[in-house]
Amino acid sequence: MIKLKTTKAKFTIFLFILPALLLYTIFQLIPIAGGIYFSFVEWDGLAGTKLTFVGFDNYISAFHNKQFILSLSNMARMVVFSVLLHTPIALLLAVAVNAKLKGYRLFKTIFFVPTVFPMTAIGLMWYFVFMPTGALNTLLTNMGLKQFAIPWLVNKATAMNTIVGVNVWAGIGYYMVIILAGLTVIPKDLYEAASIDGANPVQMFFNVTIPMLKPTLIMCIVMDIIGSVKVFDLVYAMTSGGPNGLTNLPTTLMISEAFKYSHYGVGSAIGIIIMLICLVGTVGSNTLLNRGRRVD
Amino acid sequence: MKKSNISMKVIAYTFLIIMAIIFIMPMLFTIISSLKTKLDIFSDPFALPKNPQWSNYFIAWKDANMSAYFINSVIQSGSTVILTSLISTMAAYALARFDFKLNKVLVLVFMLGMMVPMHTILVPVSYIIGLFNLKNNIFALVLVYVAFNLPFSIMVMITFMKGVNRSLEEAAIIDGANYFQIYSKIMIPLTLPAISTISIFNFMGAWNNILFPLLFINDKRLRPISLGLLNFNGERGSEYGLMMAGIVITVAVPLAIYLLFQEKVESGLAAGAVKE
Amino acid sequence: MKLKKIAMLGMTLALSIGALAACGSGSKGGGESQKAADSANGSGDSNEKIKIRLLTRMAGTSDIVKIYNGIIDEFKAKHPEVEIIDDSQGDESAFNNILSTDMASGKMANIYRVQGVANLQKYIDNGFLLDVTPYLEADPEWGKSFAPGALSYYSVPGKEGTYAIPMESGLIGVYYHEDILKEAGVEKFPETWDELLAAIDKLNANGVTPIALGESSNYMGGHLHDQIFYKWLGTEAAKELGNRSKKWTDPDVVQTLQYIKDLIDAKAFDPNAVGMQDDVAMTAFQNGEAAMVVTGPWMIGRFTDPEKTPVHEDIKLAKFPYFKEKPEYKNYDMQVISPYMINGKLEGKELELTIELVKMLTSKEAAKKYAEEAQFIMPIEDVDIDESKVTPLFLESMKLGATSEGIGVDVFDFDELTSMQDRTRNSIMSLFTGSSAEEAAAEIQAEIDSAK
Repeated sequence: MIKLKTTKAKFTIFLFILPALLLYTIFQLIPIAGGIYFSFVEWDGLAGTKLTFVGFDNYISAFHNKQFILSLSNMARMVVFSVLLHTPIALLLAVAVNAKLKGYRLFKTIFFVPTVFPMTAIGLMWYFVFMPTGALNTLLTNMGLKQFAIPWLVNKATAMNTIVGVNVWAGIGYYMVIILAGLTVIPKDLYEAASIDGANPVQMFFNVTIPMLKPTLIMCIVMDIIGSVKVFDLVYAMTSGGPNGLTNLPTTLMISEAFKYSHYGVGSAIGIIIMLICLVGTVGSNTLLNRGRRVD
Repeated sequence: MKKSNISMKVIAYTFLIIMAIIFIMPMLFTIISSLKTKLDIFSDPFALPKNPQWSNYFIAWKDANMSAYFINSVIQSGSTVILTSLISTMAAYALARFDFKLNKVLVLVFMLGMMVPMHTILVPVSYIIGLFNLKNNIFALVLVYVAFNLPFSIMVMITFMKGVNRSLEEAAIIDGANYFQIYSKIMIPLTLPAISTISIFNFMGAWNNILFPLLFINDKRLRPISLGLLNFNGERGSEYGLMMAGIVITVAVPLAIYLLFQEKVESGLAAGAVKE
Repeated sequence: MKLKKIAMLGMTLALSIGALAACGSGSKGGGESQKAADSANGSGDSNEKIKIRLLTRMAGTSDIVKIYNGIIDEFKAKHPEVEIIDDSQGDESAFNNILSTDMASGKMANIYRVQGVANLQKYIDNGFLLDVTPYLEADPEWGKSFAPGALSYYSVPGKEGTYAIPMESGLIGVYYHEDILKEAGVEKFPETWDELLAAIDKLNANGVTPIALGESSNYMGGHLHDQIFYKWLGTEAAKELGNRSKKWTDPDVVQTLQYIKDLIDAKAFDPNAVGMQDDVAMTAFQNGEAAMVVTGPWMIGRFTDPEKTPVHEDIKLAKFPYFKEKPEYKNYDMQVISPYMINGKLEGKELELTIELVKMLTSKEAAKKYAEEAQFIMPIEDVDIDESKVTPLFLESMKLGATSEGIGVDVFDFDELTSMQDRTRNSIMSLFTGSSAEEAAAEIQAEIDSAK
């Protein structure tokens, strides 16, 4: 590090940081504080009406709102199933791809492609598959399975699960690539040693690969938790949270509360709750999975 | 030994092929359908189009405004990338190379931003946007993107710049170069790989984002393609062939970038993993 | 180390809150100075261009919008010194978005629109709305031309005066294929509810979808409920729901929801209706796959265009069937009424010019042009329409619309809770996915109760 001695030098370096600091303060730092502030006041969005301090009322009314509770349980479902499916499937795919069988690059590309697509495009694509007269139901009907052709995105039992499924589909490739990167740094001699000891591929997978990948896998899970909490575009494109709030997530509900019904206070409170969930999710899963061991 | 190797191969291939089918099916359906008439699409979803309806693409592109949305996205994502790269490398250079009182505090403050979800700051940001009359202002939208991208970009750049060898800079200082010259002639060229990594990350982020334009850009003519696609669906959602063509147009650019710079995109997006 | 980090975090937060507070107070100052600057502009500098901003739903490429744009152009030609900024949006959410920003910043457009009546009170309290009564009286030729029912719709409960100029009206009724009904053995369009249920059975027996409905666009179920509501309880009941002297869980209100449930049970709709978008349902009707559809005059253009509606010759229009038990509400109808509102904060020349533009937009000539060229109905009486230029369906719609004794738009229009539009429509939608009428009613009432 270079010590700055003259005032002029200090000023020059300050100029380097200034643009970033300015933008960051206006559009991030102040809004973070503002988000907290707005969550404790009531404001109906009319200029001239006073902002009244209401303490925790916005939080209380959020938790009294059935729609919000429903959105939380939807979110929990999104998180749980994403975590249960993303990393394990991605791990298996990564190991299979990493075996460098013929055509492995093509497979990798196919799995990763959805990662680069806008979620709205993915959502609409699947919407046309799942809509009542969509591709899936047509196929089912053509195969003589008409009784299974249900309105997937409307039915109480299937609507949220369908969206969760699409989210799982869209994310697998991403985690696969991260795990692949983790696989390449596992020293080859570990496998050689294991194979001399007579371990079969399955044993090697459990005794070498998984322990060596542990930091990577933990990172995937933590990222997945945060990512699933923050899902928005997909639901917005497929159902906009409907029918009747059935597929709302805190993120979609927050947008309607704040920007549709002008309940800026409650909307901000939900925004803060989302952030807290992310924080608790990160810290909690990190400590739980690491069991006291520090991983960087 | 050999036998188990072959059976492992069979298992691996079977698994890969089944998964590949699950991944390809919806995309294939979309592409095939984009060339069909509305009536043909659902009569047999996976039948090839009898006479390809290229007109779907022309209509989506022209009449349904996909071309305008497309250009908006190019402008918005492009300027976001350029501006973020410039501002974040400048800040990272100062933070990585110079020792001053607030250095550590600033790094910490920037890191704070990575933990904050977009939704948390939406109400205040939209309040600020409204206060300064910045609705429908593309430049303001880009600034919001840049601000949102800064923490991650700065962190990546700091890590990279710390790894750059000092000797070149020291030689330059002896030659009488000033800080700005060192930044532009030495730091930038040497960290180009990292800059391209954050650029890909930021480009994809801006191209795919709908939340900011949804709230800050009301004028449909200024909206980016990821959101324009939803407007298109709202207006002509029952013309399935057109919609499918619209979806294909929307994913075309990210897909092309990925296929062209495969390794770079994969590592670039995976770099987001440090975002945690 | 950790403690230090936390302390620093706390410091930054405190710092930024301070910055925000400064920003907040700064904004007030900003508003004040803005005002000062505005009034300075108004008084002294006459060179400064007057700007008239419009925020309506008139956007897009339809014939209706073409006429609207024509009038704006005419105004521009007459007043080249005025700058017109048209922020109008066809898309509802984009429109609402701008409106809420305008409200948040207090800078309303000169001419704008707000859906509903109940929520107008707070606009009036904040000075956002102009009472147009003096202007209507000052120019009787224009002021007296409006249908009294439409104008009185904008007299806000608890406030003196009239707060909007109605610019669109039209009966929402049942459009039906006469031939398809006859093929199924329904000789005459059902006038009462019981006849409607009987007709539905006959149509089902004949293999036709009785009523086209795309509940994925949930306004369709909402409009259906509006119809039933006014025929069962009249329009006053909607106002009573709005002023809380009536509850959604009252048995007679629950009954209106139950009637929708009855229609669902009678298989009045496509089994996929709940996942269908509105234009999918409309297309089914236009192709003659469904016998009836509940919609408004904005669809007449499409229904009479042979290219868009293959089965169009026999489409007729009727009022929604009434209930035999409630003959008094036979002519209580759902109509669309849309307004132009005028910003209450305008002064001097700007106000004058704005009023002039509104008058041009709602003149008798405009009404004639709208009717003849775009089949768009303004609530203006005695417009001399050339009958050869309009379709019979359009004439029928005008004629039926004029017989309404009570007019309501959406039931939630009388409710000041902004979330009621979504709440009522969503709960009505839930009837299609298995909820009972009681559950839906309780869900709507809960929204009201939790807002207290």
